Amino acid sequence: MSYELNYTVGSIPLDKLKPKKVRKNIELTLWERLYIPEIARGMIVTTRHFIVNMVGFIFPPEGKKRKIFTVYYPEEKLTIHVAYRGRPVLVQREDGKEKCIACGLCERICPAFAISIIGGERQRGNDMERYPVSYTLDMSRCVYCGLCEEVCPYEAIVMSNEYEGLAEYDRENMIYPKEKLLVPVAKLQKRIEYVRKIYGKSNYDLRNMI
Amino acid sequence: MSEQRILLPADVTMTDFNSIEPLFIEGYIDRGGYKGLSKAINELKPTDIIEEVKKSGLRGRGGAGFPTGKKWELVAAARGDKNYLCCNASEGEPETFKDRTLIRSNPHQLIEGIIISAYSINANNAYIYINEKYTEEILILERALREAEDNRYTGKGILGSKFSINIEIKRCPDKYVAGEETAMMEVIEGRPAKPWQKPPYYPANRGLYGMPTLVNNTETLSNIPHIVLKGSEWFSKFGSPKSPGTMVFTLSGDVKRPGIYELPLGTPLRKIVYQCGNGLKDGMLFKAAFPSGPSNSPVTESQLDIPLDFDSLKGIGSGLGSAGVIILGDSTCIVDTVLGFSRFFMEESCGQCPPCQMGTVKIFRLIQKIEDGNGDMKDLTDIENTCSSLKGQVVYCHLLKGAINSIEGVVKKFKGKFESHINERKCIYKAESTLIHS
Amino acid sequence: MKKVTLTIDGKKIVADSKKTVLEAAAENDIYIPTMCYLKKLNPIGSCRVCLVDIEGADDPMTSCQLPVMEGMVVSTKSDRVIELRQLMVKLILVNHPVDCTVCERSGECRLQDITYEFGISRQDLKAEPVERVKKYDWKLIRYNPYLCVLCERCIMVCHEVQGVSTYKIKNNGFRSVIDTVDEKPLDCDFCGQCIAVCPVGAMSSGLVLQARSWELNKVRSVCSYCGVGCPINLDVKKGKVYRVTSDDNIGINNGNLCAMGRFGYQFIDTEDRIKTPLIRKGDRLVPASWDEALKLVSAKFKEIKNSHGGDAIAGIGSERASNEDNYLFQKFFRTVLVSHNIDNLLNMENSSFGSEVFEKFDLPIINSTEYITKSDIIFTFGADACEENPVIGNIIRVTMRDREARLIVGSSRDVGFRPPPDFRMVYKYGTEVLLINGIIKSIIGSRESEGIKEFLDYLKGIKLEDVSSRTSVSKDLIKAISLSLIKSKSPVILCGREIYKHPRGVEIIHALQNLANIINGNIILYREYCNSQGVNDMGVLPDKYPGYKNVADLEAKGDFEKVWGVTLPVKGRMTAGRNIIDDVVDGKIKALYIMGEDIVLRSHNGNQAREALKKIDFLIVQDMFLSETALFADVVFPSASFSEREGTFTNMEGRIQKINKAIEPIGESRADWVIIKELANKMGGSFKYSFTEDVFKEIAAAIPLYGGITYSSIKNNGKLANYQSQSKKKFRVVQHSEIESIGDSDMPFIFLSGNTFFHLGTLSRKSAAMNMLTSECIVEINPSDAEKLKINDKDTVTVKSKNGNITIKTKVTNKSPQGVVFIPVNFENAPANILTNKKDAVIRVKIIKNEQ
Repeated sequence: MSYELNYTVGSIPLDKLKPKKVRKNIELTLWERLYIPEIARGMIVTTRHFIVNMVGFIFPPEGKKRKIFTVYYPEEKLTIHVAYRGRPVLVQREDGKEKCIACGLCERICPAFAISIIGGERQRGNDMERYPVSYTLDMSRCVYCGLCEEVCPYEAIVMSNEYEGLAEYDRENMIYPKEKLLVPVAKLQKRIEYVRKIYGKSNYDLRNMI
Repeated sequence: MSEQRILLPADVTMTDFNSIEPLFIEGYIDRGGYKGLSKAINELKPTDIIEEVKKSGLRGRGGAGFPTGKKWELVAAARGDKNYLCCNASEGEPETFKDRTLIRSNPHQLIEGIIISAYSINANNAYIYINEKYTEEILILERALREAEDNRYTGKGILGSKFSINIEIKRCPDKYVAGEETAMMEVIEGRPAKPWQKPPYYPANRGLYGMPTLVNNTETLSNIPHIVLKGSEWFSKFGSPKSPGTMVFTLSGDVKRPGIYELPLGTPLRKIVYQCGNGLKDGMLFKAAFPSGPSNSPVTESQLDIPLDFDSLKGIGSGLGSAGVIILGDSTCIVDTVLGFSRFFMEESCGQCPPCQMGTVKIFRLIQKIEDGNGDMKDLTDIENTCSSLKGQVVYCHLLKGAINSIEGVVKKFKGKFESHINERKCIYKAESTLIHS
Repeated sequence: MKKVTLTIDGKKIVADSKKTVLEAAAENDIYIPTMCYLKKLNPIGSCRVCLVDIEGADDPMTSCQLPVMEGMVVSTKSDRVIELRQLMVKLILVNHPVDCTVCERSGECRLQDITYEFGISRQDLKAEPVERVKKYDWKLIRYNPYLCVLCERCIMVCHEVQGVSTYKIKNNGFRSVIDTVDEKPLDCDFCGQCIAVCPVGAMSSGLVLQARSWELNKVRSVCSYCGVGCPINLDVKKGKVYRVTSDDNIGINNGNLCAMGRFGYQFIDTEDRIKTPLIRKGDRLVPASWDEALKLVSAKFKEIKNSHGGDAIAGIGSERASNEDNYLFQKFFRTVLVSHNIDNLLNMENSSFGSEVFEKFDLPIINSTEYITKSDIIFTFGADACEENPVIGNIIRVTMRDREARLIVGSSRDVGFRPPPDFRMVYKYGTEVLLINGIIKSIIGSRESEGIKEFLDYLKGIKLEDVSSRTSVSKDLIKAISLSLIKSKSPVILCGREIYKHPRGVEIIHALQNLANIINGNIILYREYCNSQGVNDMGVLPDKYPGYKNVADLEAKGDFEKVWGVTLPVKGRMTAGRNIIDDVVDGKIKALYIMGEDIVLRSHNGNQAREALKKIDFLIVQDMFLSETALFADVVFPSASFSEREGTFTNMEGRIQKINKAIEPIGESRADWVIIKELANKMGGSFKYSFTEDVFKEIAAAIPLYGGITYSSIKNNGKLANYQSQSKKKFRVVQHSEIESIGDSDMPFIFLSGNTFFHLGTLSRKSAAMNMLTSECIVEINPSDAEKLKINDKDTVTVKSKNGNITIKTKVTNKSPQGVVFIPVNFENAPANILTNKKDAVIRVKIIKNEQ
């Protein structure tokens, strides 16, 4: 019988997927253990930033380069890197329906118990398809850890770059129903690709396999 | 050759098959029928009959060639509340017609054999297990059974003795597995035709309804009246010493006169092909023969003189099976033939055992690929690998084993043909034949 | 039984000779992996996962089918076997799409388990896909052939346990799929057994599992439908019941459930549930607070008690409420209202099977179903073993398979069984006693038997020819049945609904007792509802204290006064021979408190019940739904369903089983006993119970039947109550007597009523799945009768009796013999009980075809 390797892990070669070693219990050198020079070094860094920012505040530069760290929010906003974990959103397919299949893995993995799903079935073409009848995300519990995104086998939930408008006066309003979570797939393409890369996910998009 | 026959009055060619005249009770009695039965009941004890059959050296004609007398002894020794007898006439093997022919030409011979066998193992219930597609044969048997009952050969207290027997016809689905003896018992008990694991219990000690059951082939049972009547010495004059008696061969394939021929066991293959079959048709040359349908490895030209009996064929890695001899000429594509065989195995796999279910499909698809000209050498090795890996698998019937035997044998002996298919990227025979026809 | 010695993995084992290697290994804690093997079925042997090596055998063998033999040496862990097993699973996995993310079975899938267990992380086999058709038109069952591993468990369970044999394997080889036998959309019992046994997700429920299996919390409970009392698991997630399952090897059902048990749970949270107490304001029932409602009721009760006495208030207990509810209900009436005016519908209809059950019958008719599993002949009399209590049918079927037990079916309808019974008799309704006496006569024959002389003398007067002609059962059949009953070593007699609803039910049971005495058998009586037994045990009876102590018995009165700390009334119910509804119509009762019963549909006299409810001054209904009865109510208390509270049920064999709280009560509903407790305390009683256990403790102390049982000791299999088995054989002369029949001369049909297969009472009507299967009331009529009346199947007809008429559709079936029609009682749009008015009479009806 033919032996064929079934694994092709996206663009990342297998050997590079090994976890990096983390250094723990770093031994301090004598110089560091003396503390005084290190404190002085820290003070220099702080002072430098203070002066640079103060000068920048008085004479705001045009086309600001990132030398000055202060951002004049909300007039000014940062460009968010694709790796940023904003509020989790559900991916909406081109036909307007959610990509989620209510497999319940995110509900299981969620460390804060923020997600709850009720599954169901609906017609798709000639076949039936599983979908979440209700998908609620309790934003008052969400810890933005991104585990739901990592575990999702269908790329149906991703962390968006939204971080605004999440605070509420009423806790009830922080429970997001499915409708509030849906975001068209076109807007999330970058993040989805990024997720594929970092989690080596492209091999288990089941829709492609069936 | 007429003195060499026991069972059939005359050879039957395929064209005459439908015009066989069944021999009914008057004619049968006229020719000395039911004399064996009266001798058995009136003069012999059951043990004597078993001893006689044992001495005759009769071997099962269903395929395995198990000594019949020994089997009877086992059943008779395994005392249950009730013994059963089953006559297996399901004949699932393609290109085999012997049971049909025997029933068609002489149904009472079989019935007499069943009664004698049942008497000797003390079974009061016997079943004739026959393919449901054999409608005419069933009609003939039904009439013959009625006649036998009217003449007090069956029923209660036959021929004035205390022995009574009831023979019933059981129809089986037209499937290969239905011919497996364990599947047969499932069908008789009213369940779907699915074979069971055979060891440790064979039907001889735990069969139908958990009772000792004798399962014999139609041809085996048809021999019994003659052995009882004329004695084992007379019987062992036929055939070879280790495989006495005659065998009904079904000859088919590229011969001029395909048909059903009764010949003594041990007759060389050459004689069947050139004397009975009258040589190969269309001036073809002999290429290969499958001595027992598609379930055994083929015999090539160099082995043409091999005597057809159980042991000689086993010696060269083939088998006699139920003697459905298929002859291939040199302008018939062997790959195409094997493709047909593998299709048969795929279609007939019941799907119970995963290895058989998956394996037969895989083999079929690979051979199809080669036959279509899309194959490469990897596929050929793949076939070989598949066959060898399926060899040790646990399956309940002989289908997969037969498939592997035959396909492995063909690939081994005709590797060149497969390679040429792969290299030419087409089937050369097919191309030629289309040319001729157009 | 013969024993053999064998060696498995070097361990010497002694096992029964009839055991297989797998069973012998399991008994000795040797693990052999399996997939298609299921303990309650015969071995199938299709997966080959249980392969073992046998010394001396060429090939490994499947241990599930391999009988043990003397001196066998088995190895379960050899390298060859492990490799072959892995290959087998890989072969199965070739065609199995890895749809685990959407598969219902994911998390409890046998194939998943095996794959992990064998450490298969890589598939090196490939197969080309085959087109298959998913079955979505099988109503409550779905089949996905892509996921199917062809283990045949569904086929076998359908054939062996359920007896329906609706599945087969279609096609051969790799094209094999499961299909129905006739290849039409499935139409079966919808027991869902096939779903339960499917090792993968191929067979799945038509009620799509909305949660995932690992999220579900299994809460053990007891099915709240019929009297069998199957232990079930309520699979709960976040306060919602998502499905019902049952475990093998527990309780009397051994994992088997019927359609209602498995799919009929939806009533728990339908929109119809009453969520707050309701109070009548004018024509409407308006929501109110608990305080308001309880205050109103207690004030009204006090007023009536003061002006008319406690006897002017009556209560009807429930066959579906728990023991604790019923116990407190009667205690409330007896201690707070100082009245014995309480009853339950079973007792009102036929007190012999309610309050007088122990007085009338010496031989207890409450017996464990274990007698069935140990019997060699089963005689069902007046019972439809297949439909009435399908799980008892399963027990009978498995006994027939394992012990080759024979089955005799006797009924006034042509009910039959699957597989076909050995004997089947259809007698004329009303001649049961004569028939049984005929059988006894035929058994005893001329031989002098011990027993009462009187009885034997009476039997001498019976002629078999006479019996045969009057019961329309042939003489040969009676003789054949008696012959097989004589031969039997341990017979068991089951009586069903037809008997306990029969006007001559008591006589029939007595006659059956005579029969049982002669053949040394046991009688088991079916019960209709989950606590039909318990409600009587708890003393929701006008003339009996809990535990069947007579009200007139001063000693019993003293005992209960000690337990309850009050003075109890000496007088029983005020009018003997008349039930509560009669008294309501007479105007003697001013207020009625109905707990969990829909008397409009369930009373045997529908017209009278409606009249009574219209007439009553003050009506309190305590129910889950706004039933037909509740529509008449002045105050409605919302009660919690069985899944929302704790308690105990007593099933038909007298087994006390515990129900557990799975979810929070819907809306403001409360457990019945809590409502009664609050009401009693408002009226000056001192009911000091915090938990259900406190109530049960009092029950166990007050009732000897339940003595010695503690709440915490009731485990999975429940506890049998102490129904003393009295072994003395007593013969009674039971004479056949004609039953009065009510109807005009032009009313030719005997009218019988009962439950349809997919409904029990009115509870199942609140479950959408059950309504999908049957939602229309039908009248069953014999083909020859239908032909005479020129009626076809599904015609609309009017069924008329002297009391009323209903309009329904017909079903022409051989199940009804000539001259008998059958109408189910479950449908509120066609209430069959308005046709009847008297309990001890045969009602005759006529059928008129409606013109279109």
